[in-house]
Amino acid sequence: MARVVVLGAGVAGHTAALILRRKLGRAHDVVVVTPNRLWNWIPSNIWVGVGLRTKDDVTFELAPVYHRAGIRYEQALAAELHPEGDVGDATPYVLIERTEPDRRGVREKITYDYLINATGPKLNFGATPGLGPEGNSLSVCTVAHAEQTAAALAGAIASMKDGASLTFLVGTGHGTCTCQGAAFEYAFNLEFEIRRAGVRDRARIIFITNEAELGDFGVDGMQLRVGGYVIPGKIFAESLFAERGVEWIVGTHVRKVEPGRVEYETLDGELHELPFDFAMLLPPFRGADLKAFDGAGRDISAEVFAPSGFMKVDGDYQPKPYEEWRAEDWPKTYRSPKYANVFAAGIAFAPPHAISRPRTTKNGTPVAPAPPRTGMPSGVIGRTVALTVVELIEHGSAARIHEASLANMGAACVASAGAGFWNGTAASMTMFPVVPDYERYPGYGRDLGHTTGEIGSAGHWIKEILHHLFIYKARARPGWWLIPE
Amino acid sequence: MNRPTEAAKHAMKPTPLVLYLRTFFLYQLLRFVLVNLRMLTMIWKSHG
Repeated sequence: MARVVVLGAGVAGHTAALILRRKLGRAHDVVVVTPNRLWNWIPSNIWVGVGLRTKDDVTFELAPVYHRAGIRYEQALAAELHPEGDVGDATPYVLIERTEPDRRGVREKITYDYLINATGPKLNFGATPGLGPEGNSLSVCTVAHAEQTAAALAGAIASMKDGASLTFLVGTGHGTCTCQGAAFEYAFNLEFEIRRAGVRDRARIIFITNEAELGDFGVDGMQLRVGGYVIPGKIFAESLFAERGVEWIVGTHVRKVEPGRVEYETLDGELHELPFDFAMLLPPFRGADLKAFDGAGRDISAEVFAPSGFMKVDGDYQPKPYEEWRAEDWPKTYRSPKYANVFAAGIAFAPPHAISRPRTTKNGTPVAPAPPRTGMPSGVIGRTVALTVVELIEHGSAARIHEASLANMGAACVASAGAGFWNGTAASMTMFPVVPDYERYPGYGRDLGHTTGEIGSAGHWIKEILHHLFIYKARARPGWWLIPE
Repeated sequence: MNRPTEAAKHAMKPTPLVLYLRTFFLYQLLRFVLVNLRMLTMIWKSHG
């Protein structure tokens, strides 16, 4: 009998847990450790953030789903990894700290045979003074943040209806943020709702981003074959901003957020201030607060995790300049090089480097979009790691180790630009591969036949369908396994 | 751009026909089918 412990119940962890349970016989244990009581379809938090959806629309209780699926569920934070056990007992374990109200802070050990670290991001609001809902700006990263943002937006719209003119700032709150696509979606849904409320003429909307140019999205941009030309995605991105009257500032590092005012630095080293009435700024990510100890109790966190806090896996972590980045640098199996029974999936694995060219300002401040790990790649990685663990349990040394490199994987993304069956639109994008491979695809790094983008109502309908489809899948309803990641 | 930009003046803008087609139901129905096929191809390529 083997026990697989999955840390985290986001897209990667939840996908891994459901697949493990489905593929493994009941003689084996599948355990999920997550501090959250609820599962959240994060892509729809954008719509919660503009007041179109509620918390109940985008979340559900995990306990009944896991109970029905035969998965042991522990509502707790993972605090420490002990992959070599302790002195006298080499059984590896995780030290968890409970988060249920009646057992908060209670620490327990859970032993494992295989561990999948799918802890996702730590929202690092602390990286920028004043950033975040505890400070002076809003967020849509969690459903609670998104509800707060929706309330602020409703208040702002009411003020504009009373005659006020307001400035709305949306974007990235630090030079090393990822998730520019989410900020893009929020900016255009905000613009759409303000226009729907009839007060667009009273709103100045500004997008502030660490991307060197619009359309970068943390993937070094895209080239699109349109009308006989290969056109940088920047052209289409700027077009949408211009069409909708959303101003933009690129190449920025936000230094601090004060009440009603943001200070930022640009690539030329100049410092600027911008007043605002409403600011939704995303934080940079770090790995979860997880430490690792060897069998003697020595802290080995620096060997297991990268300085970013994400877990090292089978990637090439040798520092190298952008010009020397290769597709082969990226992990394939997501297995820890130190512990063969430990894996990291989704956002939890440490990328070898970014995808977009990193830059610094003239003062040496990093302005470097971090690589995104969106829903589809995260789900694919979770599935891949789960299948590998099943193989290892059932076939041992004869196991087939599954691979899913981002340099050999595509992504399909739908970025909402306003919701509504008849007049809502979204940008439907595909790219292959996620990480450019200039040896396989000289010149552009990607297969132009499979790297596409267009805006229209079709995209919005797809986004709505995906919302319902992936919540159905995550609830492990009948036939859930037929829905691909 | 260091400040909220005037680059919008130089950005490509859609024509009225392009804007109309973005929400024209019959055309978008066709695009819905084609985009889904494109995405299913991407999913198939990525699942290895």
